[in-house]
Amino acid sequence: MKEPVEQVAEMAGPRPAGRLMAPWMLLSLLTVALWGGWGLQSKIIVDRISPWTNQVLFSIGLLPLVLWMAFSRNLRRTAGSKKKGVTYGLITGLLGGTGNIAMYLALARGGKASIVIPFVGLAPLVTVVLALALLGESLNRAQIMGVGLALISIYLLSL
Amino acid sequence: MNTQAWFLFAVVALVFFGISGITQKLSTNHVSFELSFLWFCIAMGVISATIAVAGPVEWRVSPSLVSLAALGGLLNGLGALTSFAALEKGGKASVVIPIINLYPLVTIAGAWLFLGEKLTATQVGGIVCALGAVVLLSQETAPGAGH
Repeated sequence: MKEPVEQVAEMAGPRPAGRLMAPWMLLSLLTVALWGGWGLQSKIIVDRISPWTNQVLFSIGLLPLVLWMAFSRNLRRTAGSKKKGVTYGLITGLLGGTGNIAMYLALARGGKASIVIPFVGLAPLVTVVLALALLGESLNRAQIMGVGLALISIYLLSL
Repeated sequence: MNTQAWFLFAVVALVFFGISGITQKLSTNHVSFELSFLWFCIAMGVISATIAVAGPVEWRVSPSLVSLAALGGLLNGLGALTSFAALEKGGKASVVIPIINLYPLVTIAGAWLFLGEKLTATQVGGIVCALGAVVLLSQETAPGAGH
């Protein structure tokens, strides 16, 4: 699982000169804002609809994005193996969707939300450990402290 | 051994979500974030279709609830898209994934601002930790510099 990963990891350098923030950081914060809005929507809808129905109707919202991406000029740009890239993308969706179902089932089979949600929220720890072990990524001291603080924060915010 | 079913499901969710951060990064190492995202959506569509056929889905839903659920999909999808883009633009999985999972910070702030919910001391602690985490995680070491 190592191929061009090390090269890309090394590209994750500091912000380009003249920029306030590295593009990846800006995009990450944009994700936080968008998923924060999704979380707010979930809070509003949770008592009005079952998670199963929500999961199905949820897909309607993905349709405009699918069309947008399908006609994107950059769609066919590749940096490695198209087959591998597509397979990993597909696996990401399957893991995410199945993970959602597993979480619904944990809650439906008697797991308390106050235990299940903070526990599952610690998934980034699994990602960090695997990224260091399999992708050859490295973190500096400040970032290690940042990961620790992020995990504490995710836990506290989901209580 | 009599491990409760709910705990096993929670472990599956934890592990699957954790691994998905790695496969997401691997995907954008090979192809554009646009194509990665497209296949991610195809997988999500397959799962939703399976639930629609086999799951306990309630089809009598008001148009306003359909719109609200679709809005959730749109916001979640846009967030997934920007996270694929962040990883393609050189963000490390070990940094990007912890940051993007801080989104409850925005949900809680939004619930306080728009839904009139009160903030608990635990949530305030979580928000302070989240802000500190973002600052620390953004400290990228210059190439060639020691850690």
